[in-house]
Amino acid sequence: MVTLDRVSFAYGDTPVVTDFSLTLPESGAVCLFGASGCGKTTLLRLIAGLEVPTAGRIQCDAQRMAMVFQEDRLAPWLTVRHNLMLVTDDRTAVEHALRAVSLERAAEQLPDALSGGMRRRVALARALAFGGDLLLLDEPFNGLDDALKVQIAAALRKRFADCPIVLVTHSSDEAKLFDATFINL
Amino acid sequence: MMRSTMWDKLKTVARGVAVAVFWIGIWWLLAALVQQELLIPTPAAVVQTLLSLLPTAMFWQSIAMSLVRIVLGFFAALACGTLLAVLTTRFSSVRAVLSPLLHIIRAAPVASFIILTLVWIDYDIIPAFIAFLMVLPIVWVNVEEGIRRTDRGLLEMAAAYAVPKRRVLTRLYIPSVKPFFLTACVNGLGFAWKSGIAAEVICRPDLAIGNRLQLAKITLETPEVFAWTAVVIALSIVLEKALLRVARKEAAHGNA
Repeated sequence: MVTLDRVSFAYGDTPVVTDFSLTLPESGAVCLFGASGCGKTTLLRLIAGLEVPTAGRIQCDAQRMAMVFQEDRLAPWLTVRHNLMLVTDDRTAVEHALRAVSLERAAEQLPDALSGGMRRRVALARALAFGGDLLLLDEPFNGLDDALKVQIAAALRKRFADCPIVLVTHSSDEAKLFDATFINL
Repeated sequence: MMRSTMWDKLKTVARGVAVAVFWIGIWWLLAALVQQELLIPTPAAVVQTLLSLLPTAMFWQSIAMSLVRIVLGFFAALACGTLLAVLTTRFSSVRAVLSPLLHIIRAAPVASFIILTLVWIDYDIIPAFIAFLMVLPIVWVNVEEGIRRTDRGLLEMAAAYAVPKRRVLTRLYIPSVKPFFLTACVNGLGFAWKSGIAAEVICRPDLAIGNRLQLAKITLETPEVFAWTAVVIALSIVLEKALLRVARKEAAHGNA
């Protein structure tokens, strides 16, 4: 159960989120939709516990949470496989995740040797390998072609079938890949 | 391709030899002009003195003891500097308390420390302590910078995925700090060596390169002063090259 109850947040004197309430469904995706700077990413960070609300309350019962950030956030000194193994010891899950994003052959490469799209797939594979009972996605498909978007969205929906997914994107097509309920900010 | 690499290497060696010959020539010329071994001995006289020192046990014992003292001080500084860097980045109060100490060590002349420690501690330990003191701030500042420059985005990702602290340390912090630590090692070794020998010259422990330098000076054996100085320079180059080799290996390993 993830509930945001009249949550507000400000960076210094600048309010970013004001009096926002939301209860996530037990399973299925919601898409936070809105103009740039309206606080979508901040809401994800609040749910993840990376920011503390200035007012209101967040209840998050998720034990294990996977998150795909806007940036890839890969350790440049670790190979693709080791970047995934940073978050999990489950080797089988790592191999499955690499296959799901079609990166089996790049498993021993360092992030700097990969294209932007490939690095994005590693970040997505990390969430797939980790699993968990809540998935937070912030502009997850930047730099990917349509076929890969469909392929990876299907893998994510399968892996996180019984848990809530929160998606932040500017593309309604991407939201449709998750059958997401739109929440306008 | 291979031929051109070998040719390049040959050219580099030839250039190095030519430069060495040029400077030895200048030295020879000066010695010939002055014609006083007390002021400037000829290269031949220095080599002869060095050859006469080589078979003596005292020569090797002095080198060994100087190396042991300075390397001990160097490694102690690596350990303490790293620990202090961790503490000062983690706790701002520790930083506030210790930062004046850092400024004092960096600003005060090495001779002041040597003279002060002459009063406090055993002569044999002073060179190690001085080497420690000179390397400590270098390691401290560099490791601190390395910790500060660790990618916040990666640390936040690790927090989101609840990566265990030990793994965050070994797979994120240590690889991130490593280049800063290795730079500190390479820079610090030169300082340790020079300050350690300077301390030996002043406090004169029994078996020490610095003591031999001072004895040669007192007895006006200028060729011996030159010979021991040559030994100091040669050892400094050897140690620096060895450390650079380890550093390069480590850096390559870190990227693998």
